[in-house]
Amino acid sequence: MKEVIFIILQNFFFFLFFYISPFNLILENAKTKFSFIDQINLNIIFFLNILLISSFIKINNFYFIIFYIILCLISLLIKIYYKWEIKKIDLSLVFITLILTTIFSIDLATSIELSWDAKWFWFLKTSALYAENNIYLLKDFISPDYPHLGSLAWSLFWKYPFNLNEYFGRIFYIFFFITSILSFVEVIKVEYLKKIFISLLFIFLIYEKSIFSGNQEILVFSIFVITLKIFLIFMEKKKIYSYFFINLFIFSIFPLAWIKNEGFFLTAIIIFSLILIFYQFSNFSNYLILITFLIFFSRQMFLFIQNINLESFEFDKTLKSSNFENILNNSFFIFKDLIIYSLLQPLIIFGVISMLYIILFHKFFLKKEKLLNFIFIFFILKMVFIFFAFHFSMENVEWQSKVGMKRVLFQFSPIYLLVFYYLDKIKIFK
Amino acid sequence: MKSNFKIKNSIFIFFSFLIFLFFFKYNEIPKKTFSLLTDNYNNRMIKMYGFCEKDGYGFLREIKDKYKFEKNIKIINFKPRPPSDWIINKVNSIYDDHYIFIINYVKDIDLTFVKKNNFFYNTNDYEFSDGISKIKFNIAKKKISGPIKLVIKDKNDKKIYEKQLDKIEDDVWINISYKTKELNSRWNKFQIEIQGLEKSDLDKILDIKVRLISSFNIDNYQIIENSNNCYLLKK
Repeated sequence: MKEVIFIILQNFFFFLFFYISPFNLILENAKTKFSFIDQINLNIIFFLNILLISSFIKINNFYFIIFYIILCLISLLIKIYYKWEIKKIDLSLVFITLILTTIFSIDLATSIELSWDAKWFWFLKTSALYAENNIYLLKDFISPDYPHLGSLAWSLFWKYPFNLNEYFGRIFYIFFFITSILSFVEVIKVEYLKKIFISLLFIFLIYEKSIFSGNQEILVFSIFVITLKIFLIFMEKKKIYSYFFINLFIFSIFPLAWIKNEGFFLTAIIIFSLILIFYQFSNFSNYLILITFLIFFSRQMFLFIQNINLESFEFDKTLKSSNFENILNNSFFIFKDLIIYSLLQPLIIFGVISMLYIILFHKFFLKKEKLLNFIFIFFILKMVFIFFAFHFSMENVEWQSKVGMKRVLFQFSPIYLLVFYYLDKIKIFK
Repeated sequence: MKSNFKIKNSIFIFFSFLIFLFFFKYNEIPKKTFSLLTDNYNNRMIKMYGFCEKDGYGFLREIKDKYKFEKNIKIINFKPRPPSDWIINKVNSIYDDHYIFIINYVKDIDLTFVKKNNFFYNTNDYEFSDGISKIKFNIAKKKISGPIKLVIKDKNDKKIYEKQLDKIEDDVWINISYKTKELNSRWNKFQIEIQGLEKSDLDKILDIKVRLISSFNIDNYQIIENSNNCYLLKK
């Protein structure tokens, strides 16, 4: 009984913890208004950024939590002092989220399974960070070039507030996944109950146990969903060129490169897709290019300072001429797995069919819709990345593609939520 | 998202039905909640990761709790699974060279090769072998006469081993004793090619067993703890 109660309390804790974030001071005073669930998600991203910074300066887990709670309380006092309106809690959304997170948490607690990769390195990283928040100890460990932010969040919520079992840390992944979907679906212009229904549909279609088995793709997925949500909020309000948008956008994608190595490429693909769409606004493009470079530079500097090589990659073998001789053969394996694993993910099936529908019946090539162009450019860059990544990251392309394709596709799949949004925009559901 | 408390009944019913379906199909939540109430965390972990099978979770935890080792102990799992270090070992702790855990130990490690398109491919993998000890054919008749050439290749068609045979007999071990570590793998496919046989004879070969020389012989160690195929050994 104790475990079930603590699972429910852990989810309550997440709501409270991310509701009273100090970041609310910025969000609630911005000209662009954010909903309750948006605010929860943006606060999660703010928290991930702060957590990342704390890891560089080796702040002890306990002091970090105390520091963060003090910041929350100060922000609350400021609000009370200046009589600023405190964001109303959407009780019905809290209730739905709690039901879903509790269901998934119980599922996680009973199956408890860690994936192959999670056992091999993610969990070991997590348990090391659980014992001591010192990321610099990880450099002599297997795959030191793999980022640490996801493991850090996992270890922190394993320890706080209840310090029970490791899977309590993974409940954070569940919470973020569900709230990110609820947040995204808000942009679809239908009645409240229909939004809930659509959210549930997405959550049930995407959910499978393996996404919470300790792999980090689910965090990349959730952050990408929120990034797209921010993009849509500002696009609808025609404020895409505002610095507030760009900063918020950059701020939300920054953690990606610190969760998985593919996260950096995802960041680059998102940013370059945006630049290609909004290229006529040179300040906007220049700023985005600069930020991409800084993200890349910060990650490389971190590896360089610690003398960490990209040892998880086999560039010394893959860049040999013998590998190029197999390029056709390997392309076949990659293409085959791309099809097979796309067919296993309902969101991708739906997205691709919808894209085909848009191309064939909605005169895609005649329209100069920025959103559509963004989706298609992203799609093309994603394909290019997948072929390059699988050709050159490991020598055994066939095996690498077989074990990795599903997860790579999953990380990129939130883009298909934009297709859903577009279908709603052209009133296909009416 | 603005709450609308004037809920339309039909949508509400649909919504409830969807939740019910979800409960039913994916989660079996009542059953799982009951299991959470009755099974503690350790029991659930043993069910998932095995006591002395799979990752050897139960055995490793029990022995670790009993001996309270301060240093990490090397763990060798004879089944191709991710390293079991995550169960008891700490990152960056040094390893105690005096002890070793063996999980899923088997004395005779056999790779089984089955036929596909006139070649034979392995259906299982081992990581801790020093070479080939012997080979056995499972044939649909008593014997096939040669000369026959047997070639073992890796996935890149690189030759690992070859042998000329005068004949092959059903269920009879052929001694080889060849040292190689190239058959150690978690997931690679190896190929056996039988040259010099008519198609009709080749079709009679059902499968081929390759017995590997194990890298570990527990007779060379002192057994401190043992449960089924799991051991704590001391040098």
